[in-house]
Amino acid sequence: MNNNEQNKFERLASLFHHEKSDGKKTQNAQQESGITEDSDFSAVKKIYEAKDLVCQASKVTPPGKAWNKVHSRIRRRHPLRNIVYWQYAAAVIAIILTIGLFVGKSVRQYFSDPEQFISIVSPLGEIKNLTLTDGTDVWLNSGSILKFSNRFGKTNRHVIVDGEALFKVVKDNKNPFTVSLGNSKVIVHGTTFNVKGYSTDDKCEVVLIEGSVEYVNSLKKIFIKPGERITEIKASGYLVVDRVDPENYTSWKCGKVYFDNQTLLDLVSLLEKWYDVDFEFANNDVKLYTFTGVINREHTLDYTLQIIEMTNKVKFVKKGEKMLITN
Amino acid sequence: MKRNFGLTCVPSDEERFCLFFKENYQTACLIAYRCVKNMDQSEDLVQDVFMALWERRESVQKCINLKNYLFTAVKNHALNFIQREKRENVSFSDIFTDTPEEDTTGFYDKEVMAVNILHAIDELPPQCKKIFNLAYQKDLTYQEIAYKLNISKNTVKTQIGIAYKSLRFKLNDLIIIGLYIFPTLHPFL
Repeated sequence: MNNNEQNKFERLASLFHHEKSDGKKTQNAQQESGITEDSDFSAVKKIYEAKDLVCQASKVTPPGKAWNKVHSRIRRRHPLRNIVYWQYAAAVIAIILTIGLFVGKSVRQYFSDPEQFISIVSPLGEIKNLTLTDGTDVWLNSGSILKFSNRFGKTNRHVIVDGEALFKVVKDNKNPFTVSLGNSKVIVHGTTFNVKGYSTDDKCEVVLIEGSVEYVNSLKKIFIKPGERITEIKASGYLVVDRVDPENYTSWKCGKVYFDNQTLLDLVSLLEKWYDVDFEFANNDVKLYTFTGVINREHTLDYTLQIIEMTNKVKFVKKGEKMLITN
Repeated sequence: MKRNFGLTCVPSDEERFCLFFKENYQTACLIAYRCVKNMDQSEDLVQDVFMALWERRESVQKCINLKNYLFTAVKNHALNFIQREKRENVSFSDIFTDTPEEDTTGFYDKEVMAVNILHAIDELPPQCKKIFNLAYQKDLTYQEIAYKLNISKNTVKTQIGIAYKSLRFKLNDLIIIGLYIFPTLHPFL
């Protein structure tokens, strides 16, 4: 049976490639070979007829390479353009300022206009990526807000984060980049680092990937090195520095998060932000159960919850609009 | 859940936009090539459209079918190019249309199929692929191939048969049903 099928395709191929059994190319081979026009016939015919187009397709630059070109064009674009499209409020502010100029306000008056803050919001379930006017790249995790003055620029490189963000800062030793995290500040010296300080959390942390940062709060100033994480307990202002694998703390931008013996409470607060769902704990014990593993944002919530249920430690039950977690 | 990983709105983060780009770049280039007839130019035009789409990602709200939306924009941009013969002063606002994309079902089948055939050929065993391409893309006769590769004509015939059989079954959905299905071939990286 298989052999017959094999021969069939050989005959079909020969037909379309104008091959007679004696090797010469011929035009009316179809009638001569008596091949029936079934679905295999039309399939091979369609494939054969597509060959010119397939040939063209093979001449297209490989998408990976083409992407590099587009990617650098996106990067090279005037960074302000990225911001203008991000947030309607920001666009309105920019327009108001521009109109102000055109309406003939004097330059002096323009500069004494009150400072305004622009907020970039990454809603629950989304990650945003933008470039600031100084060339700094920022990734904003779900449920996070990035704020900066309308005067942000060469000399003013100060931003405020409520949530989680990953920065790749453009080096400028004369004008250090600073990030406010709650009541603390991170002073940056040309680097790549991740900050996490959701206003709803009881602690904030900064993980340094490359370069050097100085963490400043009301009690202390500490420098950290690449591969180090600094954690501040908000209530006490207590600072702890430890070594971590930076990969684990920045993989969220690719949609993966590693959990290493972390509590369900932490895990759930992440899920709430990613999937925009409310969770409720049946009792306080459940909050402290620990988990180790990887969660991938590309999966649906159901899939992720199933994976967690497989540890046999907890169960998720839909309770109205919320998810109830029980043991 | 509110989150939508499907193809109805422009991915707002670079990683996923990059995936969307890689999945559709070749097909888009073929669509532009339809009227532009120059691959380098087609690639430039397609890259322009992707750039414009990225910059407009916030304002492109839920469209029914992002691939179609993209392909239609590419087609329009290419047509504009042919009509104007130069790229300056091109307004991107009129290439992105809000018209329902169901109308375009089937418009791009040929190009989608061609790219899928290309990927399927890539998956053939090396020797088979080599022989097949000499016949399919270079138009050599079986005899010429046999001579060139120093193998028997029978081997050529067999391998080409294997290739067509493999392609026919891999692309089954696209060929037989003939609908504009979004194939989920492996994302090449």
